[in-house]
Amino acid sequence: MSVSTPFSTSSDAGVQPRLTWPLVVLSLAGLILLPSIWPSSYVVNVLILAFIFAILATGLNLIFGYTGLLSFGQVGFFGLGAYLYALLTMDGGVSPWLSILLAGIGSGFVALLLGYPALRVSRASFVIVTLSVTLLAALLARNWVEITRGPMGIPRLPAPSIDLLGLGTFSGHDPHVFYYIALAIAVASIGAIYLLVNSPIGRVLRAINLDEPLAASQGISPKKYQIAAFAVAGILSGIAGSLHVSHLGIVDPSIFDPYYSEMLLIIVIVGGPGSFWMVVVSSLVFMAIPELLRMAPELRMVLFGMVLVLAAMLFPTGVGGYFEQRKLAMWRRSLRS
Amino acid sequence: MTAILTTHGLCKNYRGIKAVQDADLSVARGGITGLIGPNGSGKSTTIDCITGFTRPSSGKVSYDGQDITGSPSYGLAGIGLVRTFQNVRVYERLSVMDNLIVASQSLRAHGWLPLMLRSTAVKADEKAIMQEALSFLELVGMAHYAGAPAGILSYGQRKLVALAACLITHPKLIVLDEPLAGVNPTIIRKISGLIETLNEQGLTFLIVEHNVDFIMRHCDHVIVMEQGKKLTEGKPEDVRRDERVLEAYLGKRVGLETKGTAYA
Repeated sequence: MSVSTPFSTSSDAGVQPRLTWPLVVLSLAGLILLPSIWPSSYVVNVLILAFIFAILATGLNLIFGYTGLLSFGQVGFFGLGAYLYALLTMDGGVSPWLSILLAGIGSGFVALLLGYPALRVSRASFVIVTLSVTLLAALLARNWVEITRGPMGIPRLPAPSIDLLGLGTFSGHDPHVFYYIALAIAVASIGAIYLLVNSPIGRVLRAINLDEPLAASQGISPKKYQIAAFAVAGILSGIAGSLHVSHLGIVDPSIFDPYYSEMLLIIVIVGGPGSFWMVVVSSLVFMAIPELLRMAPELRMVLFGMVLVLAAMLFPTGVGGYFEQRKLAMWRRSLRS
Repeated sequence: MTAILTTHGLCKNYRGIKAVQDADLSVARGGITGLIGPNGSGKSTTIDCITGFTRPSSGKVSYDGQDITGSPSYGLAGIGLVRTFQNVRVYERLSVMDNLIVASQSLRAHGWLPLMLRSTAVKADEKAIMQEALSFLELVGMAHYAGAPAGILSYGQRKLVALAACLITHPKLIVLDEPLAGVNPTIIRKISGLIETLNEQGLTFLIVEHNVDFIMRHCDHVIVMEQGKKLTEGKPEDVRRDERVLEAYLGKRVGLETKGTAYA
């Protein structure tokens, strides 16, 4: 009953590891070249939204998929980051680039403060606390008029621009320029999370998710890791939110719309919580396909709801989970023979 | 022999139910101490109090010269006190190798940035840990399965992996909660042999177990609990003959005539 032992320490379930890197590099090259091949600003705008959602979904994947804490707070931090960006650039006179960074750090800091009380009781209470915080943030955005300007929102937001010495300044208000800004920030933040979840820290996060008492008996403080993961996911949401409104040019309380929560959950659940690349791919698919097929907006939400129900019934662990199940089946077969 | 672990007047109440009452226990350094008693006698609650999984209502727990009463469970592995669980726990979706790497503590000493970027020090450490993990897996006879997800293992194999995961934390005292329950005879022999070998190398054990044969053969000291209290303790052969112990397990010996009247 001897079994060969391929040591797979990076236990990211999904596509064959050998295929992953060429695919990632190829897709990235494709995304860089796409605006020159297909210069429609409509396509470019759809992809910008997809990049923003990929950042947001990767954050939710970190806290939900890897750490096992279902957070409804990600949309709250998305909105918080959006408002921080607006207030910093409009009232604080801070530059757009720095504001994106500060919006991320600010959202992460709020998550850090929130994480401790939210995790005091149980994982279930965490879900409720994070949901409440998002609802509360929406209420604040509508009613704290002196700061947020209320339902009218804050218009005419600046966008970050790229200053290439000798070549002049490229304004981020041009979708083709913003496309590369969004792509760069998405690659940087998603890349950082990739390093995190595939590091020994990621392994510990998965361990805590799988068995908290066992992890504690081995000297791991579960709460410390959970709060840290929540803060990092908050940073990602804040960055995504600030990026989103710098592109839209306006922030208003509709940034907390349930549409974002629903989209985000569909992306992560269908992609497969805990499957890194599947969630990234699923953000691109779910943002791009409905837009490109030009579905009626009313029908779209209904269809998404159906997709979520079907996914929960047919692929309870997402597409990534399906691959992992197959890997498990393979192991079982090899042990039997 | 000096004691590595002692409890003084340990009590645990659950809203009026006294799960553990005034337990004074002592585990000798370098020995194998058995903790036995009928179901519901408070064995598991006692070791939960010792290992920080519940906070004792009153009393004191000392380990290796430190007061560890009420310290959180995750603070104990660092000072060499680890445990296994009654219904064996492994990280089912991690590979057997990863189960051991997670349990090992030296990687966690690095900062988050070196860990994320896998600095040369982290890489070297990881390599050393993998070597060490492999040697422990060889010791428990599970090296073949290093790359397999722990979820595919049988109950007994999981117990072996859980034991290896304890060993990689470099413990001084291992608390085993029913290491033999639900395990086939081959693995019972394997685990018994391992405990014996590791004990000879200086490791101390506190073992909760129902397998009397095992307790008699391997323990040098046995503590008997009943209804939350320590009933008696001593050498296995003395405990075995103790009338009170038999009574606790099997009930009072009664004559036929009194039995008759009891039914009347």
